[in-house]
Amino acid sequence: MKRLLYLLILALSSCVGTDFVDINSENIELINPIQSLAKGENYLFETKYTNILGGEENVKVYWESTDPDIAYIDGNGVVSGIDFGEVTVAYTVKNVQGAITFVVAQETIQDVQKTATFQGKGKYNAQGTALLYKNIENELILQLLNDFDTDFALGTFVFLSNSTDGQIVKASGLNLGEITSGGAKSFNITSADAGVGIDRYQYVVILCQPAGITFGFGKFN
Amino acid sequence: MSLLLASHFTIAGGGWPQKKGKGFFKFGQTAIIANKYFDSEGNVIDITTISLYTTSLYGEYGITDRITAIAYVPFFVRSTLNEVQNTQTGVILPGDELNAFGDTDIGIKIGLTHKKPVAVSASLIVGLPLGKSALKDQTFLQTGDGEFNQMVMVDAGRGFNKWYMNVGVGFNNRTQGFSDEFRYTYEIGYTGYKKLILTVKVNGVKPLNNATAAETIGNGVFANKVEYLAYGPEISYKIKNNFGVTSSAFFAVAAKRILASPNVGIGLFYTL
Repeated sequence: MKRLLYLLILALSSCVGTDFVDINSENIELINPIQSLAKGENYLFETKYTNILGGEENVKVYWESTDPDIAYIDGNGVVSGIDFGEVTVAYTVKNVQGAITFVVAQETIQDVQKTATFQGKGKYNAQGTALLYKNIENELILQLLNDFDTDFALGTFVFLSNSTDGQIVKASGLNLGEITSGGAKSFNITSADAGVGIDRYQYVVILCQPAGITFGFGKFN
Repeated sequence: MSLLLASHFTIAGGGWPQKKGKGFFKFGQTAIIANKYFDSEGNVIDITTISLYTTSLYGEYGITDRITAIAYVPFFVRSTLNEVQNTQTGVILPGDELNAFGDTDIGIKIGLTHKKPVAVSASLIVGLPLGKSALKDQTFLQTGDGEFNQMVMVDAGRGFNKWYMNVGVGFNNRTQGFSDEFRYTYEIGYTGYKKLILTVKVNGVKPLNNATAAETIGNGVFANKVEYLAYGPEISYKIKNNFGVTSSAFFAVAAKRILASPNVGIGLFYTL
């Protein structure tokens, strides 16, 4: 009788199941973005394409300038500063497209730092500032500043992602580590994934990782 | 103490205490499998699937005609978190599971009326934090809330020819900084069939928002400031005069901080 009862309980209590998430990992990343390009100078844009399985591929990139009279770009990604002004360059591979907006000015300045301001998602709270930059060892660092604070649950993690949807962040984002308090903290992204560039992810996300619930996020400028 | 307890009062309980030496006992199994969650605003959001399976014994026994002992013992609670597989890359994030004893409720019910058309009773139920909880064990998956609570409930029931109805209101004092709760129930049952009892029940929990502890997201059942209004049918079939089977399903129509999925149950009951 005891055995029968035990079997009944086991039969009525399921095993750990599987949730299937259909996430397309296809992505095009501009490795060396710029804030400005010097008039009369040329600059070679470099990209990294990731296919739907998450693997890197060397593929043909299609380039297009919104205003060739300000910045002209050839088929190899070499952009030339023609005249002063703001311009956007789009780069396309297969089904994915990226774009960068910069100005043609007196000098060329590479984009080596981004900031994001946190906001809560739904009624959850997240606030403060995140800084994304390369240190002197050329490692990519995410720094949460002193003003950072958020709601917490058991299993609150910092992620980089191209989505703020909790399930997508959990399944395809870059997990930088667990946090248990607000305030300043720093994460070495290069140590987590050496292939990540400054333009790889659009968002820093605070995630209740087990359930896949986004508490808050910040979009990099 | 939560939605889990809701399904046990249907045939027993309400405003009617057990007669001396009489009783009602139930071996029950409930399950909640949810890939949705009512967040703190009441919006339904996607989550990784969380399941909670509770195997329990529930009993009421008449110590006297007016005093009934009550116990709810979830002796095996299993909570699981699904693994997540990216269908494009095949990458799998591992799930989790927890098997443990659950929070247990014991109490007494005192009949305040005797042989009156309306049966009124008052119950005092204490919730013993015997389960695994975020509070004590720092586990995401839980089988209890980790706080010792005391609930006072007043029920009034009235039987008709082939019908009965019961209403109840209660106050649940929660400790460890959890918000206290106002609880209410409404139940109507049809007993016109010889072996079948059909019941529809409404259950509500409203937190009083006097919590000092932070809100926590665990497995979506044992949280602080849980709020819900749920309803559901229960069908009981008497195989013998004192033995039968029962099945139930409860659906939350509005809720906060709780899994957004029905709590379904089956059970065997025995009456003394």
